[in-house]
Amino acid sequence: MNHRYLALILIALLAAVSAWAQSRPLPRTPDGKPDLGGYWNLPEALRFNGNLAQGKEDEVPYTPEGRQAFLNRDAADDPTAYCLPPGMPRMLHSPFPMLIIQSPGLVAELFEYQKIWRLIYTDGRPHHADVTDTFMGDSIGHWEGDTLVIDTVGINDRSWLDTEGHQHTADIHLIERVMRTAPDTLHYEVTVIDPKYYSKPWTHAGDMHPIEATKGLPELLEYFCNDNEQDSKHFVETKDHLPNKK
Amino acid sequence: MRIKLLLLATAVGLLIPVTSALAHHAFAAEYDEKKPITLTGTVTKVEWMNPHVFFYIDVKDAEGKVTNWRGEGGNLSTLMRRGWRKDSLKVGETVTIEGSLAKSGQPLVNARTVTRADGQKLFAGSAGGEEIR
Repeated sequence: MNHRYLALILIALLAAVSAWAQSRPLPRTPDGKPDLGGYWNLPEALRFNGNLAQGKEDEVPYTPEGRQAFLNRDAADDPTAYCLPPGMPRMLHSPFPMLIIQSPGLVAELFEYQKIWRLIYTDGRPHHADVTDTFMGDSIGHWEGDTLVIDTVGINDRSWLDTEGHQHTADIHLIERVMRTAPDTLHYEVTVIDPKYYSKPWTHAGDMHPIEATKGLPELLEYFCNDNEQDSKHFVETKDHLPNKK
Repeated sequence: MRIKLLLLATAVGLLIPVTSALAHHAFAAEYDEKKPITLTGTVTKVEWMNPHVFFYIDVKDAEGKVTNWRGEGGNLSTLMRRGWRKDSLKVGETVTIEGSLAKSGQPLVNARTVTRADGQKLFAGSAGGEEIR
């Protein structure tokens, strides 16, 4: 067989595999909703190397107060450095996987990082009025076609938006849109609405893919941050980005 | 075998670079990426705990004075997915670590790699400044 035929056969095979992959139906739950369940790899989706601005700092829609809050940040004050929960939406940037379990009326997100869970009620209930000042907020969801739309309020101002230190207020309101766009792809969009610090909604999006267990280990591992936290006592101030510190 | 190891190392490096970043704090608050350091010494203690593995090595300077340095590695999740286990690094063995020096001036180093006496490289799996920012 010469190389030309071999190449043609390979191309035909690749096309067939690709067509098969695209024709696979999306998994659905018995109630007909797209099944978002599975072990998903967070790091590749929304982490953006810990910086939601992704190096385009001049495109961040700051208000003057929001810009000042960012300039005043200090890496030594990072709440997660003291083992506080990352809160929302930074939880979605954690460099570890999460498990989504979906049942009628409820979508649960179980995060490896700090063993945090999040319940998103899709049974039509309104927000719980008395949930305020929490790290993960109060989340309700509804379906718009095949898209799960999550609405989260009740978040405190003790967390950062990202490792870079973008800030938010306690008025932050999040809208997430989650779609299973392929059997092995979860598209995740997060919109930050926080008018005091950002003049318009700020949206970040990315695709997550399934994670497989490492041999000898389960898909999700134990992670308790405060087991042996020794870093914070060695921190130094890092406000060298401020004009008067240069 | 060497080729297999090399392939494994390459694959690990390509597939999960972002997971190697520090999970719970910013690199810049503790370490200076502009101060790279290489140390060779004897392992005296390993703390296999989250949020980061710590290992301590006795390092002898030119005058023969011994300093016990603390090396900081990655979190257990990342290390375990890369093949590290609790007994991977043994007290008494000689290692060379490459990393960044602490800003505080104390004998602390954020280890990017740990190399055994026989040349085997263990991935410390911690953050380089380029990954955390």
